[in-house]
Amino acid sequence: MDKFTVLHGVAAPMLMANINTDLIAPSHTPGRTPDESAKLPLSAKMFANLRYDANAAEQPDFVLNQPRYRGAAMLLAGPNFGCGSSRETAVWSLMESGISCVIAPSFGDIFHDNSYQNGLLPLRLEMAAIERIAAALGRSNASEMTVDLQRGVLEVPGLEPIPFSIPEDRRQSLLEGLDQLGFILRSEAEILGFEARDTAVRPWVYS
Amino acid sequence: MPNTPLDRIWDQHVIKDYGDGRALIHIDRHFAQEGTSGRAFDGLRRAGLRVRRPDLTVGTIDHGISTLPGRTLESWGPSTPRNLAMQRNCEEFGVRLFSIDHANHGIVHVVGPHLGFALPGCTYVCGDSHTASCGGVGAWAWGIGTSEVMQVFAAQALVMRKPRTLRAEFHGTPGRGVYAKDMILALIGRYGVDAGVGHVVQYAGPAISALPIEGRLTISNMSIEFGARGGIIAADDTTMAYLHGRPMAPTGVLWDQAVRDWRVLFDETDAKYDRVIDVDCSALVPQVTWGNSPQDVIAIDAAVPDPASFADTDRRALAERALGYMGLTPGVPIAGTKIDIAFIGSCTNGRVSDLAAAAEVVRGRKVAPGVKALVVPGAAHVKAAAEAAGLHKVFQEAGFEWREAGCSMCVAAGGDIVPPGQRSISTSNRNFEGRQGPASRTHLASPAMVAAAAIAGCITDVRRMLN
Ligand code: SF4
Repeated sequence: MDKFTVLHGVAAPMLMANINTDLIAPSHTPGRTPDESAKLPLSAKMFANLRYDANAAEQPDFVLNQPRYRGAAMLLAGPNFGCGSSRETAVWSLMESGISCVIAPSFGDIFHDNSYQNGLLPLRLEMAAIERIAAALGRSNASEMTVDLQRGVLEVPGLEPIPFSIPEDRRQSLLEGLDQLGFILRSEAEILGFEARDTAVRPWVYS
Repeated sequence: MPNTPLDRIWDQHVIKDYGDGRALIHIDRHFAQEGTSGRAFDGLRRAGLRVRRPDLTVGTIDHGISTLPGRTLESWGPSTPRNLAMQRNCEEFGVRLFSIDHANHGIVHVVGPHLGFALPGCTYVCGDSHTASCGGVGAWAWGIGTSEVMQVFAAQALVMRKPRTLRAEFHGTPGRGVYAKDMILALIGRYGVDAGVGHVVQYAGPAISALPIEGRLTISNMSIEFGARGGIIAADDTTMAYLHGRPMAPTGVLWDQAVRDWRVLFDETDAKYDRVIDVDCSALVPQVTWGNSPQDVIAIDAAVPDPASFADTDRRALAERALGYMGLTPGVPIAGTKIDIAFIGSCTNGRVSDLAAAAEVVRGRKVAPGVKALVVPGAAHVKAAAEAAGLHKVFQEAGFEWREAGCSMCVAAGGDIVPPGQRSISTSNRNFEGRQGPASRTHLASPAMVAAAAIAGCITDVRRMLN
């Protein structure tokens, strides 16, 4: 997993609530046959139903199609971002498109966990603060901001630095690019010990 | 002490407490499906790891398959590589696979409880968000992503933060034509799609206790549409009677010992929940969705809402967008809306009792001209039981297609897709934009309501068709 320390880049506003994982990474893309869809890279599927029309042509008003927001590194989103299916393709499609931070008031639980597993930062912030950031970026020339995970602040042109915090273990694993499986496997002896004891207590689970 | 069933199940499964809110939790049951396990198997291979407990793991191929009679794993091109990879992976890693020709084949969440693979008090995971279904038999079941699938393969354990608990109490006796699907849609409509975020929901109250297991599975199934990763229904006499004698359930003295443990786990005398909410089912009317979120739901005798009626500006904007996408007009009664497709199936409503409820409406009637109607049983055992009861004849004579088991049109899989701009009424769980195909328009409802719409050619109140 790549390390996440300081991220500087364009933040695109998609302030709609309940953006689900089917919308983020649909299984079919408009204007393409299922066979063509299956062969597309995940980055091409990201938000495909919003990005393309029925002829697979770009929808010019969709935010990520606007010149200003192409190549966005972050999304500003509404509540419950990433609700719906468990598909990790939602996280992968964002990351493969260069987006490694989503700032929203709340997240779908599975998307939230999947994000950390892959080094994408799902940052919770109050909606009012997100709206302030979106407004400030709208006024700026470049829509660029900085997420500094080392110091725990967001730097947005025209605003005071905005502090944030996430659980320390999550922060450390992002900063160091730690792999969760490796972490779990350090406890292999304890897992085996647990199963040996538990087999005596709940034998029906293991029979 | 909070002492809810979730607290007790949690305590039983802690391998190691990290002291910072996280714990390493043992996973008792893992059901892998082809759509979300490919990269996990690849990861194992690269890291030189194995599936550590194949005895606690099974697999199925349910999402990307054709449901047409005579299908093979290669009948639907786009998924063929994934299906064949699943077969190879399960062979290589020693995982029992219930492939399409196996008697245990079916949609993962339909098969798990049916086999007794899902058990009360067990931790149960699958790389699929509707895993919460298995909470209907009292398992703590939740959906995981592919990274976690690999972790469970390799370690049989996951790092978890303890979810909060929410008790949803259902009171009253639902009237005729009102089903478990209507109960859960009503809950989501009233409290919203994010009300359960961060929680495990405990569904309780007299209306839940009165439900047979299949209805309970429908309720738990849609926990994720309520924002919750898991939902549990206390195991009671109904649960024990359902599970006893199932092929993968414990037998003999182990069964007796298990039941004693389960009785203690689900004793809620001193239970304290973080939040308690309720729903009255006595006045409940059949439900149908109008928008692109499961919370966009109304009673069948109501009109399409005016976006202006939502106080919340965000909700108003979403409603406006949804009405445009769905091609609906505010103020017009939802009943009478013409449909193109009626789909009965999925892990929400693809069980025998769902098909029976639909057949009761269909019997002796015909599908309206121009409507494509299909029944896709949730599993091979469902298909067999329905055929033994002659239900397939009822559907076929009425003009429904009768298919093999799979996810099918729930997720526009296996070639079953709602064409752009067409309107479907569906027993599945998601009415998202594009879910049933690009520009597809989906209305969610119970199997009986979908059957009624197929016959009428439009969304209609099923109660008028029941004697
Ligand atoms: S039936 Fe639909 S919701 Fe259920 S597992 Fe299959 S695709 Fe997912």
